[in-house]
Amino acid sequence: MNVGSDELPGGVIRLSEDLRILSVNRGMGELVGRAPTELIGESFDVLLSVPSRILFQTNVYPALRAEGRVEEVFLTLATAEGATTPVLLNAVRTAVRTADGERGSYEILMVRIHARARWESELLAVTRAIAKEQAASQRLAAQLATTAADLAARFAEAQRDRAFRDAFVGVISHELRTPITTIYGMSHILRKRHETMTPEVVRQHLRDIESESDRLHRLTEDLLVLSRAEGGRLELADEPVLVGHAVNKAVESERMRAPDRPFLVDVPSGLPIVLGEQLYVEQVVRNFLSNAVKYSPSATPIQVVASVEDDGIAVRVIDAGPGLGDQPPDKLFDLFFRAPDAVRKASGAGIGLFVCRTLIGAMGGRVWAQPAPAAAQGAEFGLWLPGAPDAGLE
Amino acid sequence: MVFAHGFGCDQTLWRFVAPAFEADHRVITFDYVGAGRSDRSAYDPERYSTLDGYARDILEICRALDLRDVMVVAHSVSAVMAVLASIAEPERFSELIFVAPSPRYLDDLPEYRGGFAEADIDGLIDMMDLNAMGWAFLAPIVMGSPDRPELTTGLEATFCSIDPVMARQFARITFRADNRSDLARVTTPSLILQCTQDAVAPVEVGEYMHRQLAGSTFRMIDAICHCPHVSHPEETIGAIRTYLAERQQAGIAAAR
Repeated sequence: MNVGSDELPGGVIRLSEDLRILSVNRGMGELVGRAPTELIGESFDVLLSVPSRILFQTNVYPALRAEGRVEEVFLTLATAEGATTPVLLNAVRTAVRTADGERGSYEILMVRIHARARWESELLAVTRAIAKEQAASQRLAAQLATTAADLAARFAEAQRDRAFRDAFVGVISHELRTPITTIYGMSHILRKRHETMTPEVVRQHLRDIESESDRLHRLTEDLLVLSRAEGGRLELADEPVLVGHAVNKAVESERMRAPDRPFLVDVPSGLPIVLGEQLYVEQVVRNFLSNAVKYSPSATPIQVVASVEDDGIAVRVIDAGPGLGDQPPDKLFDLFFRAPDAVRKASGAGIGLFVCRTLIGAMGGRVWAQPAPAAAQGAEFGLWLPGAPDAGLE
Repeated sequence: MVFAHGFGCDQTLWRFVAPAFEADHRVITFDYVGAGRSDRSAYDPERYSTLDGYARDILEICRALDLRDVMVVAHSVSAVMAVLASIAEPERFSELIFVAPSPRYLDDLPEYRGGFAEADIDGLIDMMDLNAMGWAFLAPIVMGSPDRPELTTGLEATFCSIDPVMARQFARITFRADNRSDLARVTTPSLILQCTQDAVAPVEVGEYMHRQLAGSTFRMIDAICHCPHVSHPEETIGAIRTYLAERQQAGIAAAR
């Protein structure tokens, strides 16, 4: 050590290439609370606190080896009393040429920074607290955003519910009231005047009552499906369905309602079995048929064709009515939708086709509406159901 | 040969060792995302919250360059990344060469002595923050202004540049990770180079790895501290060369 280094206000230390202490000044001894003489020959590590050893070996020493110097490194020294002394360290490596290469040594200067370190630690603590606060408020903001989005979604859902309820009430008041009024009126007249009526008039009134009851019955069935679907409770059985049988039954019941209508039925034998519920398939075909009856001229025929298609069964109901009009065909299957032409032509709830789509969809199939094939006018309403895997034929 | 740097610096630390292998091997050095000149915008705090995220850096480089028969030379905590990468795609790697490795830095007494206690790691992170004092204040501003890249240029010009925020996170996961149980799943042959006076990865840790890694070779090298590839490059190069020559001999003998 040079003359006078003991008077320096700070630690001066010289290390060998393998980081052994070659010399220290008095100031260095004071920094660690040990006599300078007892440090000679020790490894530099013993002067450092454990975290400082990591920082020194992973950052400072490699930089010193590679660059030859480091400056202003904050470290803590381990004192003999088990405390730590914060210091700033500057170091340089010097090398001398020897016969077998190069031998280096390190000159290190350390200055105690007690007051500064305290201030900086406090500043750091404040900075960290601010960062933590910021992170917390960011989380809070994110939470608020989520809550707001959630509320908006619930509000939209509530609005949809209300719109649904309004439409539903409208349909009920009209579509249920009309047949009930007719039934009530007719039975009232029959009770009061049946004795003075001709048998033909009585029969006519009874037919009207029957037909309106039938209409009520069908509407109730559709409403039942609708309410289950809206509540998410539409669960269909996975039973084997004989589609041909369902089609024939639907046609029979429609024939009763419209005895004068020609129905041209083409259901081949040997159709594949599908899985679902027989009664629901029947309900869908009946809905298609009653629409065809309602919207096409009374003398025109209605065609019903079942066929094997894409490993499943397609059923088509084709009428010779005015066709589908201008609206997109898919829209016809929307709940409460009624085409402007249809509204003029007949009463209806706008529920039937929605129920058809819901039921067939629940059985894994699809429905469609399109212009009647190979005809100047008319509409085709169809459904397709997938064949049951490994199931036989009807 | 893919050289993976450890905690504390970047790929420049390999500059004393890697060129020695260029004559016989394709040599690749790289920076993990967050270190050196890596693209800071690629830093995903979520991904880099575990060492596995860094292991994926190795795998992605291997895939992008379509590397096979890869020898990974991994320093310090990078040994864990190399272990995880070799477990994920064992067919890609032929040798794992660990320089001062450790699978866990914290003590788990009585059965395992990693060298450190929780408080030491807290102290290290405090010290890193205090050394990057300016950064502790600037970071939020710099992070928040991508339109002012000049704020980061000063940092990138310095030696061993590593973004202090990412460095602190790297320190946190490095020193708290425990990958001891992964060692038994390694099937790639490996070399462990152990230094003396290594305060970060003591000799007992190197010996522990040797016991846990099937097909591993353990060598003490005449180098002090934790970075022999910087402080003692000749010894490091020599030890790797000797090992590779032995492996080649063994391979020839086996082929006969």
